[in-house]
Amino acid sequence: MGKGIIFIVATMAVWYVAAESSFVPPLYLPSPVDVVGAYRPHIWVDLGATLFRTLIGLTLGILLAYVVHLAAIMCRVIDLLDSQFAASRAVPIIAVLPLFVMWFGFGELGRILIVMLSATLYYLAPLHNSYRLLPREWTILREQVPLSVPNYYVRVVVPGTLGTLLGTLRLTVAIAFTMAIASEYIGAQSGLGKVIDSARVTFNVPGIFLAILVALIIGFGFDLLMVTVFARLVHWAGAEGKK
Amino acid sequence: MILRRAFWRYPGSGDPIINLANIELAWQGIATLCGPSGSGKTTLFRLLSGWFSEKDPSCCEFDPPLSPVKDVRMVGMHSSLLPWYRVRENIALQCGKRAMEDLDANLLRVGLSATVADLYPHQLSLGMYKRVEIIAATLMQPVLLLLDEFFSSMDDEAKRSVLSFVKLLRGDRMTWVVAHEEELRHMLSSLCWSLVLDGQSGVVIDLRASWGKALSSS
Repeated sequence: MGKGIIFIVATMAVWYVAAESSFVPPLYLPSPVDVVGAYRPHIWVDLGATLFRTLIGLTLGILLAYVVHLAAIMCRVIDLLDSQFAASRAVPIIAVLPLFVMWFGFGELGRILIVMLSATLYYLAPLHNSYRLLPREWTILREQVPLSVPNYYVRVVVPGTLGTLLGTLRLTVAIAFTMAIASEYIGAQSGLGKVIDSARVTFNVPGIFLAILVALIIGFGFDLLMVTVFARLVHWAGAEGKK
Repeated sequence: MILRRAFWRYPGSGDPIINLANIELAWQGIATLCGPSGSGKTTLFRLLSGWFSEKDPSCCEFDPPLSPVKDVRMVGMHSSLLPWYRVRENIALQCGKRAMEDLDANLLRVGLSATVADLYPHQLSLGMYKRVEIIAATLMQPVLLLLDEFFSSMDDEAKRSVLSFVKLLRGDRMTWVVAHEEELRHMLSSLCWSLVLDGQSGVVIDLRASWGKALSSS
């Protein structure tokens, strides 16, 4: 922690000196003083809007990934899903963003849907991969006990795959946050993306920097929260060992 | 009871590691399986318990027919307890709610205290873990129970209590044990025969070994 603080302070100092010395033009690097000066209380409302879209979209997206995966197992099309989704993931979600705005208007629906869809697509393939790697002594329980497929899925597959999905979850959170901000570039009334876009129109570089800084801190906090919650939720991961 | 066919070749390797056919089995009591390291003891147990049934459903056939997955249960070197459930929940999942009534008594029978039921699998020592596994496996009442390297992490007293637990709950049903030590063979006094794998061709070279075929009943 101490090293982290020293690093941040040092970065700020270098930034301040570089900006104040006019060595780098303010268009590329505004002074920290200007960035702090760009603060408007409304940014908390914008941050709240972005967080709302991220969390709702992320939650629904991950739930959808599980529902689709379970449905694919029950309908015995799981192998098909593997290849089809590999193809659909090759389409950058951001490319269909304008389409979603046209279809669903400037309200919340289109933005949440885009966050949800990207979370689902990023989560699904690693989830399936983790599913295929479940050890035989766990998968054999389905026939041995026997368990119905939904019961088996909830009691064995979901917790069993979770142990190896922390990295994927962190990436999915980052993608959801990114897509929420990107979705606000087009016609949003609030949100960090909207703040950045408005500042761009008026060449307000410090305003953009401030929004980026807020996004950085929140993104970092999200990640930390994810790791902490995960460690408590999946308390057995790493401890399962060889027995 | 006849083991019609047990055949397994690991993908990419030339000779089959297990290739048994038409072996008559004494279908009760406790039997041992011996053989040098790498002779296929664990593979045979996996084969019999349906481990490979997804890849090749015909790799193991009994006469009269048994379902390897449902009628045969293996307790071995792999962890069959789900790490996200406590011991109690693991046994409930595998054996149903009814197993909960006698759980404390069964834990005591294998030499564990009743408080073990509330621990997670990773909080158990290897010997405790295996004893919980044997409770679950025995309560499922399989036709054939297979114990692979089962006693290696237990002291003599634990071995004795587990053996008497198995005898108590299984009655005349069949149990096979991979046994190395002479000492353990002495303990398995109800032995009626033993299988030996020779490690080369994977065939049985000694069936119904001399020691113990008379002791079939206990």
